[in-house]
Amino acid sequence: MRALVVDDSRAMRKIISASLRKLGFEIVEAGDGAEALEVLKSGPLPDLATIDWNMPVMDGLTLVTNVRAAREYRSMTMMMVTTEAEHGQIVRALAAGAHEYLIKPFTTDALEEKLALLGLMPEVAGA
Amino acid sequence: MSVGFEVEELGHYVEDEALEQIVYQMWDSYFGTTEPPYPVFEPLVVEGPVQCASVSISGARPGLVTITVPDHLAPALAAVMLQDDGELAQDDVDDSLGEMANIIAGNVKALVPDAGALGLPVLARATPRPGRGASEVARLDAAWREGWLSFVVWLGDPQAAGSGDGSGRE
Amino acid sequence: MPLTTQAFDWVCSLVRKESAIVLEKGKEYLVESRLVPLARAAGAPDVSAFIEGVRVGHDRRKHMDIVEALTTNETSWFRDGAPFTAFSTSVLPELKQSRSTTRSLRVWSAACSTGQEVYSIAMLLKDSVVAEGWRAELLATDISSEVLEKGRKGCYSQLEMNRGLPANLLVRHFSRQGPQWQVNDDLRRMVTFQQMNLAMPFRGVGQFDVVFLRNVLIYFDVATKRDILTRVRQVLRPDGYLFLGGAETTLGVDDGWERTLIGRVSVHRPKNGGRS
Repeated sequence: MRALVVDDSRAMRKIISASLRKLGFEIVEAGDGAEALEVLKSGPLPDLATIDWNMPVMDGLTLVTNVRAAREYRSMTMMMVTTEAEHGQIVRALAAGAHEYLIKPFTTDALEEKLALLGLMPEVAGA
Repeated sequence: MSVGFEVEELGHYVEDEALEQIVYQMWDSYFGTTEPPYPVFEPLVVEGPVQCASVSISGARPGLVTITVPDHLAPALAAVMLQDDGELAQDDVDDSLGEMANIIAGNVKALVPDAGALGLPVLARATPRPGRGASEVARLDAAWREGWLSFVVWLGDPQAAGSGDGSGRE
Repeated sequence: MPLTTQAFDWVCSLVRKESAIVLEKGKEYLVESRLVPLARAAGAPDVSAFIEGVRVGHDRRKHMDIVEALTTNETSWFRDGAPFTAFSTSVLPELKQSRSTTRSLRVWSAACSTGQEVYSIAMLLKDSVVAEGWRAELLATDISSEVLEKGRKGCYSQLEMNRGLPANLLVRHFSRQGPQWQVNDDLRRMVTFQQMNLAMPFRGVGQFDVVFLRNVLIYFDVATKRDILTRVRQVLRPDGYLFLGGAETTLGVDDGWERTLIGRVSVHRPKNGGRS
C-alpha cells in the first residue's frame, strides 16, 4: 500500500512515515497542499493521505476540499493529522471530505487504531 | 501586579495544569518515557543563549505559545524527537522546535473561546515578547538533562484584539 | 535494576488476596512497567525499592494503589474492532428480532475499566435501537472505584480520545470540557457504573441480553474462572451472548457454553438455550 504524508514539518513527516513504513506502506511526502496536489497529478494514486491542517502555500483543509472535488482521487482515504483540536474543526474537516481525524500529539498505537478503522491495517485488513 | 485581574480571567481558560498535561502528552507520544522533563517550581534563571520557537493564536484573545531551550540543548531535544543520533542541521533543529510549539499551540487554542487560526512556527534566538495587552497565563519550567525547557502561554485581552504580535509569516 | 523475586512474590500474593487475580511467573515485566509511575511519584530509586517500602510500611492505601495499577487495563474505544463489528452486524440484528415485543435490551460490561468499552456499546445502541425508540440499559462494573469514578464522569484526555474512536462518533457524542472531552449526557444516562468484584456473588444485577467479559478472566485461576463463567450463565438470558477477550475461552473451563463464530470472532451462548 502507498501513503502520501503531507505536513510542513519534516520532523512530523518523519515520525508519521516511520510508523507507516513499519506497517508496510510505501511513502511519498509533501510539504504543503499544493505540493501534495502535484504528487497526486504525477504519480500513482496513494491508498492513504495523512494531511496536516496548518501549512504554508495551501493548507490541509483546502487540500481535502480539492481532492474531494476531483473524481479521479475518490478512492484515496484522507486522514487529517493535525493539532487543530476543537470540536468545530473536526466537524469542518469531515464535512470537507476527510474520512478520519487524528489529533497531535498521537501515539503509534493511536495511529494504527485509526488505520484499522479505515480498513488500512495490513495485518488485520478484512477483520 | 497591575494586570492581576486580567491574568486571572484569562488564566481561567489555560491553567498551568492544562499546559503541563499538553506538554506531557506530547512528550509521551514523541519522546518516550525514558528522560521526561521534571517540572521545577522555582522560576528559572535564564542565562546564556537560547533558541525559541513560537506559534501565534489569532481571534478574540490573541495569544502566543513559546518553547525556549538553552542553545546547547536544542540539538539534543530535536534528536530525541527525530530519533536520530547523527549530527543535525540547524534546519532540522528549527523544524523540530517549531513542530513542538505548533502541537502545544493547537491544543492550547482549543481551550480558548472564540479563537481563530494558528500561525506558522517562528524561530528566534530569544523568547519573543507578545503584543501589548497580552499577559502570561500559563508556564511550565522543567529540568531536562543538564539544563531546562520552558513553555509559556500568553493571551491578550479581548479589547486589544488585533494587536497581537506578528503571526508566523516566514 | 530488574524486579527482585522477593518483590515480585510479595506483589503477587497481595494482588491475589485483594482481587483473586493471579500474576504468573514471567509477568515480572508487567508488574515493573505498571508500577514505574507509582515508584517515581513516591521518589523511590526503582520499583523493587518502592515495593519494599510499601511492604514494610503497612499503608493500606498504598497496597490498594498497587492492586489498582496492576488490575487496570489500558483501553481504547472499540478495542480490537472485530467484536464490535460482530455485535452490531450480527448479534444486534438478531436481538432486534427476538426482542421485538419488549423492545428493550440490557448489556453488561463486566470489567469496564474507565468506560471506553461500555460507551462504545452505548454509541452503537444509541445509533440503532435507541434511535428507533427502544430502551437500552447498560451496567458497567469494575473492582476499582477509581476507574468507575472516571467512567461515571465520562471525561477523557486528548490521548485517550485518539485511541480508536471514529471521528464521526466523537463529533456526535462528545463535547469539549477544557483540556478533556466528555461523553454527552444522553449517552451517560444509558449507563450505570457500579463497583463489583467478579470473584464474589453478583447480587441484584438482573438478567442480560449480552455480557462483555473481555480480557479479565486471564487474571484469575481456573477454579475462579469456572465459578465466574457459571454465575455469568445464570444472569445471561438463555438466548443471550457472551463476548470474551481474543485470548480467552470457556473451553475446558466451563462446559455449559456453546461457541459460535461470527466472522473471526468467537461468541459464547448458553448450551441448549441454558437448559444444561
